[in-house]
Amino acid sequence: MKTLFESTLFALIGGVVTYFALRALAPELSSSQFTNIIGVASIASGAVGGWIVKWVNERKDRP
Amino acid sequence: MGKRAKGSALAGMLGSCHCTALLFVGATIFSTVAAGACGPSEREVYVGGRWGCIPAATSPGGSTGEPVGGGAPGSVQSPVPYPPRAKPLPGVTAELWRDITAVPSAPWTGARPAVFTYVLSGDVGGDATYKGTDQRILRARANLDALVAEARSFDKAKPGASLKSANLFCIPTKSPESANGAAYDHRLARSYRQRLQELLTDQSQLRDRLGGVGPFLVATRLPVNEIVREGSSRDNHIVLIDLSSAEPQSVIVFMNEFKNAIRRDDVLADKELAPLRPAIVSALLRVNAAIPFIGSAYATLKK
Repeated sequence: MKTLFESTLFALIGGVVTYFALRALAPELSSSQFTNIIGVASIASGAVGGWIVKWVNERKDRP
Repeated sequence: MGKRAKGSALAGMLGSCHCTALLFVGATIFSTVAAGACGPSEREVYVGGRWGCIPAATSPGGSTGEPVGGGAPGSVQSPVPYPPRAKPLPGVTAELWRDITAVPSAPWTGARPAVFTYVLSGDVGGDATYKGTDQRILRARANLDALVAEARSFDKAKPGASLKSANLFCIPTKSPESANGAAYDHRLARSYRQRLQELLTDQSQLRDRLGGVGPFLVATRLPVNEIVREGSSRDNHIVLIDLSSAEPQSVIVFMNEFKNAIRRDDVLADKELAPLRPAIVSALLRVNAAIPFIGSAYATLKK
């Protein structure tokens, strides 16, 4: 459950960071033109973030 | 309620399976919802310093191919180009456009701007419509339509007005000028392109570039018929930008980079502009188009 929550948090952060990065890169364009990239970045951030947290916890729990 | 009680209540809420699952779903779609706030029959435009929604039917050019500029009374204001980043030099402080119907050898008539920018199609055939299936040519023609619409979103040059500090976008057209611009003339554009290629005999890279599918923006300080490529006068130089790698949506980014480069650096050397930001934006747009599933899911969600 904790991992799921942390993955969600990373997905949210990844999506927001990607959104603002794209706005900074191409302010002339609407962000709706990058919807797919933002979505994929969000999912990827969630997956990678969750895996990192899990990996860190496993290392912490190791005797 | 004590701090511990508050903490345990929060932990209980987060521990709830339903709540966390909802949060996860919300996070994955957050950005897509935030990214597009317009309805299905609307499109987002950048007007007056902020994004807003206008009905798709009032599209300022682009997909509909309608020319932009000089809007009819009561029509929605066309998108304002993003404010230039570079401070304008005294040389160029404004961008205007006009149609040209004269051949390249004809003398220039009317007021003279600081910089002439020719909006030229590449090697995409001379007919108004292309009936082939070559994807490169189809994309180049779509880019040209977007480029012409973008150029016509500037103010139109008024006859008799001073253009001393203007970068004038010259658009080859078939018929005399109309209010919002006439149909683009690919054959006239080709004759301008060939004339420029003849002038660039000493710049083989630029000359070869002009042989591509384009479209191109070619900036000079003199009209084409007056350019003499001898000596090192600052008036004889040619600055080129090739939009063959652009996507129709990223043409506005190329245009802004070109505008800023001319305002910042003027036309003081022969060079091809290859700005990085529009190239990255074009690549991102291609990647975005290659990932269709999020967009289709978002469209379903909005129904």
